[in-house]
Amino acid sequence: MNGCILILVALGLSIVFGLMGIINFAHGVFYMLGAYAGWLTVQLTGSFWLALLTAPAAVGLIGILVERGVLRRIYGTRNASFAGVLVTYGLAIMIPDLVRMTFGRPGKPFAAPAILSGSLFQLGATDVHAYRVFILLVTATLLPLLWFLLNKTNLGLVIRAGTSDNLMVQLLGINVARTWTITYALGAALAGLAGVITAPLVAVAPEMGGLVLIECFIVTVVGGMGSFLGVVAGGLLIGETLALTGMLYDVFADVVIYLAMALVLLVRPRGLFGQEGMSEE
Amino acid sequence: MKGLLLAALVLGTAPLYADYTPFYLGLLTEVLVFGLFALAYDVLLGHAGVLSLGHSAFVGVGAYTTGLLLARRLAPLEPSLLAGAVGGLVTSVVLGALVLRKRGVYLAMLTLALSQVFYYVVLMWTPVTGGTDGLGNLPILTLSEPLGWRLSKRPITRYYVVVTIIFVAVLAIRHLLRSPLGRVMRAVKANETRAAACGYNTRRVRLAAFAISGFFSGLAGALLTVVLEFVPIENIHWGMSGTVLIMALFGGTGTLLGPFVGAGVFIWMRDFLSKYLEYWEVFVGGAFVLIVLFFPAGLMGWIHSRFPRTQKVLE
Repeated sequence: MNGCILILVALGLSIVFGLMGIINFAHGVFYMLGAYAGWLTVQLTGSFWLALLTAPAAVGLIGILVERGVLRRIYGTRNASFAGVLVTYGLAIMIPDLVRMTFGRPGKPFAAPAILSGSLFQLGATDVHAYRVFILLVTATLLPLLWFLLNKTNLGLVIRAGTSDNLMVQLLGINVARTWTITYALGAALAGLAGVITAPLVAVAPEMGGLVLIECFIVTVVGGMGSFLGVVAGGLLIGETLALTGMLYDVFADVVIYLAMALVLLVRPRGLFGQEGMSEE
Repeated sequence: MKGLLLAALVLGTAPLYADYTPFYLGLLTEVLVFGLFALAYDVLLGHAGVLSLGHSAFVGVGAYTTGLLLARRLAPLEPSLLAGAVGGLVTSVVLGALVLRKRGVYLAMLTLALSQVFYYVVLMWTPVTGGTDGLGNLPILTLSEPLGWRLSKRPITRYYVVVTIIFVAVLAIRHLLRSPLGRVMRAVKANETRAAACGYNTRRVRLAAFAISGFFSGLAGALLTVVLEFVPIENIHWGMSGTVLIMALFGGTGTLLGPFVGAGVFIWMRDFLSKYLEYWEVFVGGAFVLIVLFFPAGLMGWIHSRFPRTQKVLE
């Protein structure tokens, strides 16, 4: 898994967890739906660039529906954070089968546009593929924008305030319910975008969300849940670890990241950049 | 107690009046094994209030320990079963000690991620575990002398042996849940701060719950190996944790009978619904969402609240 893409997906997961205290098991499904929305757009219009817009938009919309239709019912109930895990897990079982019903079991081929395929230049003995550079550019553009959104705008202020003390923000007369919808949709849209960007690298298939979800868990645990910098650092660290061990000793790659997580947990339970006392519950 | 006698009577005579074919008897055995697994799972969820998504490791280690002892060491059956349960116990204590540094959903996420380590170990260690092909070539399973009964290809013998073990296990779990330890577990679930203020080491109580849950999950895994005479790698994949969670919630957490009902409903959906509906997971997932939203007490919890007398008789 590409480190940049891991950052994008994990960021959505981390923002939603930070604000709502919900571990969104449907996040991997959103990633998969993004790839399908992109595939559908390319089938209908033939434009990859349009797919980059429609995929996050469509998945963001689905995110709004899920938040309004399902998650809204569990807020304020006893054990809301458990229930959040459970309902999103139910959705994560259900939606891939719905996708199989609509688009069929086999995966869909998804080609990158001609301008982004092939190698750009040689770096030592390795080809630098144009598409990889494109992913790097997209992430490098999006991250400052997201950082700005979360740290320098009113919406970001409310999101961050809600992360540390939700009740207090409500008492100040701020419509937290709407912020939650927006945040959930934002998280979903990020996953959707990551899905469509990954699509040319892997096959678009109903199962593609499963593994990425667990890898995102690891990224957020290593980096520190709810921390922007933590997700970026964790994403790069885990992405690179996967790539390097994959190159050296490929069967070992999957285990190493789990062991890295266990190590971080033992030495520094809050994660590399997590704040003390945050996300203890 | 009445309920237990009733259960013993029903299960003891089931092969007589149930539509007796090896297939259905095998299915019933499987339901009971999964019911034990779900009950072990519920010791953590329903009583200690810990949401675990890592039980695939406990059941999987149990299944593989028993399977490896039988297939590679040609060990006798009874010690192999016990070793499976102990394997689950050890795994759960190690994993529990790590994840109990955190709480709530964060803990749940950690159990999921750490349990996957066991899956990858099995996957990588193909020469021993059989990797993705699963662990097969189990010898013919027989009880040790003086009984010496053969279990392989004898569904009725196997059924009675497995049912007896499960019945004893359920009695043990029931006893543990009614002991002072069980009460403290529920106190920690209801109000951790207060339980701590009363002088209980809440982390240690939860670790004890992990150990109990792990031991019986491991036993369920060991029994699963006996029932299937094969260890598919799915037994240690995290999908197993999801399955047991669904079973426990379908049936109702905090009840003794619920996990068995939940296991029955789930396996019915898997084996019968899937015959008519190719995409049965839509219904499992959908039903799961609806139950969490509208019947959080599950099937047995709902029955108990509607007919309070049933709780006295059945639990």
